[in-house]
Amino acid sequence: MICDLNVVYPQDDFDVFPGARELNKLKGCLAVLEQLGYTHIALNFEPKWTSGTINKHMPGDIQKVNPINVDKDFPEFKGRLKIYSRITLKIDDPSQCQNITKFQQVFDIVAVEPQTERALQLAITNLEVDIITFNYRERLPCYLKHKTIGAATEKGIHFEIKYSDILESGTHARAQAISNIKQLIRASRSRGLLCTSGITFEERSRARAYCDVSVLLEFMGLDRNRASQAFKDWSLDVLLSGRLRIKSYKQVIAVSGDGGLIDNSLEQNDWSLKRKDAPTNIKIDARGYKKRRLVEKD
Amino acid sequence: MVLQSTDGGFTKAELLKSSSSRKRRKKKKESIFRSLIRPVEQKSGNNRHSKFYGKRTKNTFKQFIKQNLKLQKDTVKGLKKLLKKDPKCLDKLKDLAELPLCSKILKFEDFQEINRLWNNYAKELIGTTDSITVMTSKLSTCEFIGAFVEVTHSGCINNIGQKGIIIWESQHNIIIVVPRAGGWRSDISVTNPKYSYSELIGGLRIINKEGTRFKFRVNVDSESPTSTEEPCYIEFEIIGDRLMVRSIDRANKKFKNHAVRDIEL
Repeated sequence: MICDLNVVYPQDDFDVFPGARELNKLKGCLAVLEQLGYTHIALNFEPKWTSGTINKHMPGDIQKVNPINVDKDFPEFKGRLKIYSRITLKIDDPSQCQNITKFQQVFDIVAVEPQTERALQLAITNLEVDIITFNYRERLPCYLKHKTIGAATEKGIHFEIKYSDILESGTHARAQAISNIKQLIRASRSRGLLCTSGITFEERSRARAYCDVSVLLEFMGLDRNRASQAFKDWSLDVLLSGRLRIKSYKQVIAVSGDGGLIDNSLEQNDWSLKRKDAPTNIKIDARGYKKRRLVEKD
Repeated sequence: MVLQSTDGGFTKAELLKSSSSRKRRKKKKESIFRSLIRPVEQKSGNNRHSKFYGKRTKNTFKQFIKQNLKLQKDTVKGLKKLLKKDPKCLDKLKDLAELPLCSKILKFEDFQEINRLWNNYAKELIGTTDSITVMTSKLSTCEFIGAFVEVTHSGCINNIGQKGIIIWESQHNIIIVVPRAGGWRSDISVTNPKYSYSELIGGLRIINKEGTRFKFRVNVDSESPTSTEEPCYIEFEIIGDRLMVRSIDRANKKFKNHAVRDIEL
């Protein structure tokens, strides 16, 4: 089970949906990743607004918050890839993060991108998120201390490394990315990291097999075992904690599907579809989990 | 299992005073189940003569479990001896419980009624809601004694696949009663499955919650009201690591999300 938890969804607005051409290219991207051996893929929706201004743009209907319709748009990959949805929020104003619980109910994984040092602190201490990520092409918002990063790892929050940043052709951006990633590896003491591609639908050629990337990570200072853990165990941990937030009550009792705790196949993933008597949030609708009971005879 | 309330212990002076009478009582070995049938008059002054005087419920129960486990162990030994003498003696038997050797072991059938009660209770508890969050939060505070569970994941491989009815839940353990010769093998085996002796006799099993996941079913109403009564169920999983509290405390406990590195996929 090799995961790539960041394939950028070609949309950064709640109302403007991607066209058929973009979706087709994205499908090509997923096919390449499937060829490279990935099994679990998360489509990443990045709203362009930061947490301070997103409230004005967010649709009131919770059905419309998640634009990724896995069942409708990607029926070809059923049974081939497990596709999850993820949101990455940019946080600049720490006081404006109440809406994050709303996202937790509709997305499988919630990630944040802190823009300031205070936002990073808040994301680690107060917010219930799965991933913290940075824009590695530019300077990090602050110097990463082992104490803060270690606190996050202890809490179960993982940090993301995007390998497409290292493959960037702009020399300055690449140098910055390398130094930032080395800083993150040092501050986290090689624990609780996960490595994702971060490719958009146009950069299909940037996708790499996991063993190629782990060589690259080894060069950055992460040992081989942990580099493979970043793709396998730790990525699955992220998926598990994200999925348990939807499937279970505080990780105590979970609804049990067929494929273990991270499976989302029994849920409805088509947000555009509206059933007549559906509850407001189809993600937490338990009807998909109902099974017919065999009536015992005699 | 319903336990009779006892007087809740005794002081040291009382203990010395009653030690002689306790010795007498020890000789009479009585099953705990007899107390369930016979009403015990506690309130009046004669509780001193009660069978449970000076005993804590906890200790009595512990003793009962210990006795039963020992009995099961002895029965396995006895069964081995019996088979050595006459290897085909079990072939004629339809049910192992007919054997005088196994007559005292707890029977799964006796607990099916409590399971029926629990099923109704759980169905009522869930009600008509369709939201996973509401269902699971209600179930996290409910009582599990009486539920029919299956162990799906466990650190101890012998526990995996055990199915039975919960009769007691403590902070670290869950005690279940398993049926005779029941287990996962009958589901997957094409040929006649071979059971070990302890599987053959069934009885009590103590299963540690740590690193264990239990699966149980709750019956719900059918999906669409228009169709004819289609019995449905939803499967739930208890994640044992997160439920390491006594059932009494669980009602008021505020659960929190933690790092998931201890939960297996």
